Amino acid sequence: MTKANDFVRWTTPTNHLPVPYDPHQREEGATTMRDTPISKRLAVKFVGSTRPTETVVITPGTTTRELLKELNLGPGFEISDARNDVLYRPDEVIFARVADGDLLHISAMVDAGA
Amino acid sequence: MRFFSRWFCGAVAPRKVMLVSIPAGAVRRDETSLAQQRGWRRRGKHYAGPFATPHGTWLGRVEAAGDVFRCYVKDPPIDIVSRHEKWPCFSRDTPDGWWRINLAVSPVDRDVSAVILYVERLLIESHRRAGKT
Repeated sequence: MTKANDFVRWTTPTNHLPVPYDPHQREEGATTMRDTPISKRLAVKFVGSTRPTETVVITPGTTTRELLKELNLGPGFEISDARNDVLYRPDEVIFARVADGDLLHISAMVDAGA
Repeated sequence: MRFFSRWFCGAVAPRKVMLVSIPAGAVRRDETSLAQQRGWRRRGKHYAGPFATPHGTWLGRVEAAGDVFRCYVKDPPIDIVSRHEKWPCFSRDTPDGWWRINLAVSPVDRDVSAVILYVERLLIESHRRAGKT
């Protein structure tokens, strides 16, 4: 059965983003390409600064590095999931790992070592 | 020709990431840093406060020494953290339960919140791995 929102989703070119926001649209349980959203809206909080939380829309194939670049941040920063504190690698395709409406944390890179 | 095709492809290629502006009049979002949210206090170059995780809260201390940070945690769950691969970076600092975590990479923006987040993540990872085994 075709939902009304599918028509909007599949007739909107990706260069006309942002697409209409549907908070219930999830990639979980998607069995076909048709069920996979063409964009995801995320809230990005800057953990260590008073810079206000930004809202970003990402498209399939977006990597962590590309998201940081758009936010004018260099390689000294990292992105983690606010829910479960999972850290994303710089070259990781973040689109596949997040759900629409997720909150991400951005912080400066820290590592323990001898 | 190659220059033209590159320029053309770059011009029409859709952007992968787009910033969305907040409508005027919308409720302002939280702008406090993690250190403020956790209630960390600053005294000169010393910071003190809790490392809060879903598994418990541990007292912490961070000292700024130039570009690097010295990080301490009081009475960490040694039996759990000792299974983490970063355990060799822990060293007992004082006999009253303070342990130092040796940081190899300090935050480029010199913000203590990144250190707090890192230690909290380390403690959560340790508990998660201990729960699996």
